[in-house]
Amino acid sequence: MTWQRFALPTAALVLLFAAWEALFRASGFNLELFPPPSRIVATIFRLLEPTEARPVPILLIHIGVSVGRLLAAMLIALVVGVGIGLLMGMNRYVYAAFQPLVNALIPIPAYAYIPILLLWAGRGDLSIVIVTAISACLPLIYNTTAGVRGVERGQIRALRTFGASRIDVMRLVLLPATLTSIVAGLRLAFGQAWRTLVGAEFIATPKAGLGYMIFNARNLLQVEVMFVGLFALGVFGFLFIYVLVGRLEDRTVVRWGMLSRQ
Amino acid sequence: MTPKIRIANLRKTFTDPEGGAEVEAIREVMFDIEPGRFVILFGPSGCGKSTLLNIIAGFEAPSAGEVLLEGKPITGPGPERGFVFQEFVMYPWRTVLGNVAIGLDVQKKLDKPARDARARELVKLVGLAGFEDRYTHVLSGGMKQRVAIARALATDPEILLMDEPFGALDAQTRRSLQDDLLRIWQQMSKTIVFVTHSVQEAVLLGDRVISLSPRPSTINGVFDIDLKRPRDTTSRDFAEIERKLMALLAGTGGQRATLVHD
Repeated sequence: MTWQRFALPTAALVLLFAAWEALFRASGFNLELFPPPSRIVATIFRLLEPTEARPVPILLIHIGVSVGRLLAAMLIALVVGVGIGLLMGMNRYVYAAFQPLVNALIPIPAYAYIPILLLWAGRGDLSIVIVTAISACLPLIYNTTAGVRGVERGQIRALRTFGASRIDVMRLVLLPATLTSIVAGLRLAFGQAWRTLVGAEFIATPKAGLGYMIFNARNLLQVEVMFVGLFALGVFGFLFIYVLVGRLEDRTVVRWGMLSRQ
Repeated sequence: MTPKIRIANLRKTFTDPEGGAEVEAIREVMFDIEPGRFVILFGPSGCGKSTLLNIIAGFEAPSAGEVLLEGKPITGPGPERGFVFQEFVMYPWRTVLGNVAIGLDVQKKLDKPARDARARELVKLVGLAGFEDRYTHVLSGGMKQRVAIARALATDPEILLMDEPFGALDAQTRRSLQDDLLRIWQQMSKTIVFVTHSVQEAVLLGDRVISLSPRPSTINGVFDIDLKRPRDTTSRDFAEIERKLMALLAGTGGQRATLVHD
């Protein structure tokens, strides 16, 4: 089924780009404002060229800054989200107290916190990373909680017969048993975080990042650069969600038979 | 000789979480278990024999009465009581060796080489040599139960509590595990408390069969079986004891009696 997994999506993409190219060129639109893919690809190469003043190509700088912020936010979200999720999953009183709050927070788009953060922490990496971490935290809390609550009673009881402490139970059973849910949460969290990051970079950064690149290109009327930004967001989002998380899944829960790849 | 386990005037009632009604599971049970014996708790499905075993394990507390382990009240699970569950309790993120060693990892009494050696010894004892590095999702039900037995024995408990451990296995696999369990029991001189609703299994394995009535449980018969081991399931004496147990089941509305000659 390799052709289905690789050839088919590639063909669809090529076809889509070809249609876009043909349509825009035939339309008589101003191609500066309505760029076909060929011009966007040319712009990618232009932005990937090092210059005298800038030895590292500008596109790579923007990508690097955004990816760096994303990873920092994900790391924070992972520790905080899994920690809170474990607490909520292990103790029914904590669960009863906080589950409604978590449910109320989930639908709030994290962008909505940006104005507050701008006042509290100002423009810059701190505000961006915080808001991105908030957005990534919630799916991790939710999934970890659900995962812990779904752990087989026998797995905990069997461990307790050996004289296991609560810490032992958490370390040897709850965390690994919850990994399927945590990894699924990680997938959602990466998506949320990437989206939130771009929104935050529109307004909360003074100088760099893919969101900044796109937003700033508007002032200069560089539509091609905006599209380059969109392409980069798509490519890296895909890499994080499907390649990175998928790899993690393959090496852990799929290998252990806790999740099947269909 | 002090009994290994003494159950005196034991009662257990559950409170229905919905209506708050009291459900009486065990009405009045008392018996002693001598060290080194293979004791069967026998009775129809739903008669409270598993609840009784869970109380001995320390997973549940009695509503009234005493459960003593060498004269001391049982307040929770402990390393002198190993447990094998009816459902195959596995830690799928660990290999066969890792599953068997998980109790050793909790107790941390052995260094890594000794821990590995001990786990290997147990894997071999239950007939799984060569499967040490496999993950458990590739194992059959019978093999999983072998892992569970090895895991319970790895920390060298004095007592092995088994809750219908072979109930979910096909007849042939069940027979082979029964034989291996008897071999291990004779070799290691453990006290075994074994729950089953199979007449044949009870007579094949037990030194003593304690028969429980349907809910609310009381003891409606105790049989000391002095048939020579290995027991011949087709002998007249064997059939005679089976018939007595069957009569108990039938007399108490035990319509789910198992008269299958595996």
